[in-house]
Amino acid sequence: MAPHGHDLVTGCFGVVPLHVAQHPHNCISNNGLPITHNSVRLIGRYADLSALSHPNICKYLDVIRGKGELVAVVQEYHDISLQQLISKRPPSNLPATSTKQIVFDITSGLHYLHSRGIVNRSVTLQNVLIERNTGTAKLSNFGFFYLTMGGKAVDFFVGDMALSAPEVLVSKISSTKCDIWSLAVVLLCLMNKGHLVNESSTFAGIIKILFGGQLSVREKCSQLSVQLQDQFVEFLEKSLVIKPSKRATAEQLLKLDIFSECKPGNHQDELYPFALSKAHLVTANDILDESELEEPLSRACTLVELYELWRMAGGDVLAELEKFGLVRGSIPICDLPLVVLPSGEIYKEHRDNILGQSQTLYPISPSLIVKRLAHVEPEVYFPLTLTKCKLAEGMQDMAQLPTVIKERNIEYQLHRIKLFTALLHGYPASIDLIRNEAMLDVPPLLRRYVWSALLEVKGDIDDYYNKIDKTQSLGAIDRQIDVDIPRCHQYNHFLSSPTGHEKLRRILKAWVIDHPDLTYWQGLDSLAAPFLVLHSGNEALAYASLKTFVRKYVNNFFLNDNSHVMTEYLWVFCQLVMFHDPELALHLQDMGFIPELYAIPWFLTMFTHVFPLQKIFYLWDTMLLGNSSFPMFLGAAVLIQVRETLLSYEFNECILLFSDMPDVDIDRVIKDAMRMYQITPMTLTYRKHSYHQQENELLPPKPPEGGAKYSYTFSKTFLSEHVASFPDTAELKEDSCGRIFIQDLAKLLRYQESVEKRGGTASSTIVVVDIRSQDVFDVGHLPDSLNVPISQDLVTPDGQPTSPQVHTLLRHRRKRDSLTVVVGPNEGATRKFCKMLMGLHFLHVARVHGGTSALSQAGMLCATS
Amino acid sequence: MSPQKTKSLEFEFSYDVPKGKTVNVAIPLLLPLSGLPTDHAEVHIRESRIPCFAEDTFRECFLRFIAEEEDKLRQEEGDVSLENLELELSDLVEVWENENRVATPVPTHSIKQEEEFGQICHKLYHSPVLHAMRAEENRAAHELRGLVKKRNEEIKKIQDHHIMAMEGYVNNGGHVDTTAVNDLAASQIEQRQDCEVKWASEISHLMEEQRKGFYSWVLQTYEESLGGKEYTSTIPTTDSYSPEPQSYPKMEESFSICIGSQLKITHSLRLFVDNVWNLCAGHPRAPERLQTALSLYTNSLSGLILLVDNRLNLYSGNTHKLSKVCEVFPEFHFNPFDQQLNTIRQKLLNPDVVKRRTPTNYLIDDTIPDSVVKEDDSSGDLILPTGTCYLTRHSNLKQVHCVIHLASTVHEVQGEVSSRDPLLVGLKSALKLASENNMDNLIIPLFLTSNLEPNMDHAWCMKRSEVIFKCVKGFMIEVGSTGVTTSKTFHFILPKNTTQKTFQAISSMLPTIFRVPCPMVLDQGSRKKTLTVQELTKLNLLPNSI
Repeated sequence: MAPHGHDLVTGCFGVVPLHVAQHPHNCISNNGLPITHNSVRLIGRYADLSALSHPNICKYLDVIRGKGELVAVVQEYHDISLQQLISKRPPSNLPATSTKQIVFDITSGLHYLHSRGIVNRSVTLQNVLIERNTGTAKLSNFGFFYLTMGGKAVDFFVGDMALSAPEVLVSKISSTKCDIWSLAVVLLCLMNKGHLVNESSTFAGIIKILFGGQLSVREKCSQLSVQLQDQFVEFLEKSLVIKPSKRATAEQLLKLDIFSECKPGNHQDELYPFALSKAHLVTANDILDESELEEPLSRACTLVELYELWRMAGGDVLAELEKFGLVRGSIPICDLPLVVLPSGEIYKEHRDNILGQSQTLYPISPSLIVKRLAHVEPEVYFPLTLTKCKLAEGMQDMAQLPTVIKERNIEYQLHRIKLFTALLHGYPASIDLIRNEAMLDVPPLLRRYVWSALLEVKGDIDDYYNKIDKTQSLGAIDRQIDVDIPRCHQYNHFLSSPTGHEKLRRILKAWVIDHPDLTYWQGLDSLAAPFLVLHSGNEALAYASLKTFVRKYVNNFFLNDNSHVMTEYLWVFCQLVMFHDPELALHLQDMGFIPELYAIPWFLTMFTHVFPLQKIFYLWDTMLLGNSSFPMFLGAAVLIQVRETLLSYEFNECILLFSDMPDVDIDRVIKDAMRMYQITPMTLTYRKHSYHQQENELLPPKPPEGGAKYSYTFSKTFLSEHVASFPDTAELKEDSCGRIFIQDLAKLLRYQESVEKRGGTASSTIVVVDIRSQDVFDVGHLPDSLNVPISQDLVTPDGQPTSPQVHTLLRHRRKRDSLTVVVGPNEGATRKFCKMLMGLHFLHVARVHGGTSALSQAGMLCATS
Repeated sequence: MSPQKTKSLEFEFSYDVPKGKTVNVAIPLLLPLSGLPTDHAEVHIRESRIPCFAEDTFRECFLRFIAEEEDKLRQEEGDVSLENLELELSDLVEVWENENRVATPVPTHSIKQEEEFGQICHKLYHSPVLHAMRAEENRAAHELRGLVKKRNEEIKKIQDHHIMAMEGYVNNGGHVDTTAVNDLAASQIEQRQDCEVKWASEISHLMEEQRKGFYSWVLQTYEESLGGKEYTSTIPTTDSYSPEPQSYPKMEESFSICIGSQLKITHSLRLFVDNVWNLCAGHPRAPERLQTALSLYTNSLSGLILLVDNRLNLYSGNTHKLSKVCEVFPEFHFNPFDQQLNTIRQKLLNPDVVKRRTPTNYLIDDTIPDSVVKEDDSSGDLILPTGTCYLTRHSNLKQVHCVIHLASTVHEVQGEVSSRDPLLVGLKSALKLASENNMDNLIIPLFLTSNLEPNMDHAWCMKRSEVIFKCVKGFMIEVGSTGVTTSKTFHFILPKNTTQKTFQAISSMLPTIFRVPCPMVLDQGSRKKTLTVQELTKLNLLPNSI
């Protein structure tokens, strides 16, 4: 029988509400800025926890900040804890697991955490959960001690005092060894099938026996009336040791004889092939591990995906907590303080109530989502990527809707997530497929990997990043970075946390050191922010993405003297605006409202300085598909969106308007930019200083079917032919009309011809205007070109066109779908003629680089027959 | 915190080179390392010229070494702390047992009770019972008003009587015996105070009775409504309410402003001239009261910043006025105003300040003068340092749920106010309180005073409003940078004797301080296709209601 959807989705997650300590009212930090809230610090530290993954630990899924310094930590949940297992009525239908296997599982989990420098300190009976299907023991809540900066951020004791090691109780000093002690006490409880008891059965009584230095393990056990199993004597002798330095490590314990038959749990890491280092190379044996083939369906939908879908469908962790009555001050007026003194002390009528200090995991059931996904065809979970990379029925219509709606439809998102997961596993071979799919939309959950794929990040990036010496001092640059970081997208909790600051600093320094020819300019911090937020747990990947991004889109903007690069960029931008909206461009030009006055922060930071991250995500989703000139189209789209305002404004008002980015409709900006990008000849936005790919760096991109010129790059031959003849910035500035290269023109004409041959009408008509005098024109010209000599007036004084050619030309003046290409004998004449067309607000005018001589060299001229 | 223990040691590493030779490297280290171990590893690989074939092993060994040694450092500290464990165990165990007990406390009872009552009231306010409830409230208000009226009449009578007696005495034949006059005055004051005390106790007795009555009425009604009793939502017959006529020209202006460079948060600012007491008092049937009642137990409260005397008592300045205003309508939900003040007083005398742990890298802003609460020997009043804020809660004011009392002296309010002034620090603290406690509507006296004195001329007003605007703006930026995105409304109230000229000048100054968003002009050519609800449902695309 074929599996049904509902078998494919299982799992549950839980949430722990933490009320962290608040700071006094009037604290400031060392740098004079307001002090970071403890809750924000926690969110920063969470980044490292989220990257942890091991069969014997519960996965961390999310962290959310609520009101009143509440932090909700979402993690994997299983409904059976050791606590229940040892209770009188253990849940039925649980696979039989030996105490030995449980202890082995916990020890393995601890070993993994310790090897990553994390002290758990919350090894308790409640915090060890048992997975129903496999019986594997998993550590949950293991990150609190780490999150709370060693317990400093909370007003309560992290862990269970009854299970704490002596040194923790005496001096609060916690090394990895305190977990070993707790593990030993947990083992005692397991053997006892219940909590530890002695005659007095008090906390003090038990502690006294456990901490008694002279007593042997057997004596301790008998005093606590624990049935000591002989196999564990050695284990306990090594772990239940008073002095932490004499206690065994988790690694040593794992090597004990009793564990010789225990099998480590198998576990598939969420791993995408970006960082192909030696460590990640898998052998054929690993791939064909039989145990994985046995139960492939259980992994149909990972917990991370399930949580994401639950959230997309409107799941709200804080609302769930409120349902449990776990949010402090759910009725604000009942929880007001009484007095705040100028010194910052706060007096409350009642002591703070202690909700949220219990460190208990409250389950959230995603059953509604699971039910909704039950009818989804199993094929969706395992999409075919090469043979049938098409959207299923019903999803076709969906794909055309606005992103906001798509991001709320969980069936659609499941579809996309599964498809992208499959494609990403095939990266870099699947790069074209990824690009094609990303044209539709990018699922937020996988955005970070999709971006890295679109930027073609590859190689041993961890090794590369690690090898950059980030400790060296950079003098003035260091100081500038220190000033910029606490001002960079601080509304984002992660970026405003000390961990976020530190990571951003490392990435920025690494970039500066890695690019000795470039320097740090304000703005690089904003550019790095989106990557760091997405890859908060993976600095190396964030860095690698930033590096390729900067090279592709803002190449050489960070030169010590970047004026020529900037000038060229902004001038080509001007020409682009002129091409699409001459009326607006002329208005701005006449006022002297040049892009230097407003657009530098747009392009230097690729809009990250002017838009919030959420908008940047959408903007870049599309931008990363285009070539290095795509940002100009976005800029032009922004201008065109506010064109009515700009046309009615004077210089001062314009300055004021863009001193703070007006609220623009991002969806429309993207759509407009796409439309312009599709109809603009590729070479119009050619820049000398843009980054041109080295030939052997990547396979030549195949033009994707049906797609436009997304992956277009300039070929090497093309570059060698034209770069030399391309004008310098100074000369370029004479031109308000953009130029296209002859190859581009030839391609467009060929395309039009081929469409017409097939009996269709091309989406745009190309009008080639030859401005030489008629005699020269007759000798040789481009077939079907119009001859409108420059010497001749276009219209008679009474407004009639002077020739049929002029009449044809004027018909194309306002046509949205026509392209007017001017061919002239020399620079001066062509420039003059173009200017005249601009003055008439001709849409889409370009001139051919090199003029008629280029045409004749290419052999494209022929005589009138 | 004791300084962290450090330890210097050497990391030894050896690798084989061809011809059977081994190279040894020893690197001196000081633990704990500053910075990330991975960074250190790379530095040492370069400095010790580790060849590339040995790099990976070096990195691995080094990181493991650091992790183990740093952990060992803590273990050794633990060892040291345990040296005397055997001897001290019994004592320590007792301490731990106490801590263990404290670590599992129970939620406070009274808060729970108050919240439960609040939840019930909230449900009833948002149900057909509302009108019955309003009627109940109005009935009590009527009763209270009667009593207050009687008191006022009697006091008036006594006062008139006293004046007559005094006049008669003084005018009696030109000869005035000063001692006798003094005696008379003293006895008159005593008589009057007696009367006031008598009435005060009577009024507070009535209020207490009413509150109890309301409490049981609410609980009973709630149970009945749970039991299925239907309440027909009869719209009460037209109230005999008509808005109070305004004696001064209406001056009001609203602004939308945005804060933040990338993520923009929009706030509303309102500038208006009014008497602050009009927002609190007002007719019991004023429609604003309904809105205030409906939002009492929600996440959107209204707050008022009230400048008060630095003496914590009922009889001076604005506090006295507020106490009178509180008599207009009965208080059903919270303790009476005087009791709330008393609780605050008790708290200040016996503080158990919420302890707040502090991370290491911050400073207490020590520019604020050290200020302590003092007790005045003669009157027993508490003298609060300037900038202290205390809160009272009210369900009986027209448009306000909580009043933030900002303590200061008259002298300070009238003088120059600079940004580091204790008064402004207090204002910031009040703003922060409001923002942390869900007061989405906050009324701020723009000049920090409710009446313009002759010395407060146009220039003074302009300067003062600029300082306050900037203070509020600074606060908005600070809050915005911590990721709070709720938009709030700030009502700036100006005294009713503000001139038209000053109002105009201030309202044109506001957009120069706050950023008013540029209007977005949608051109007619916008061809945005919007889907209808029917289309969306057909496609099964409406956001899921889970």
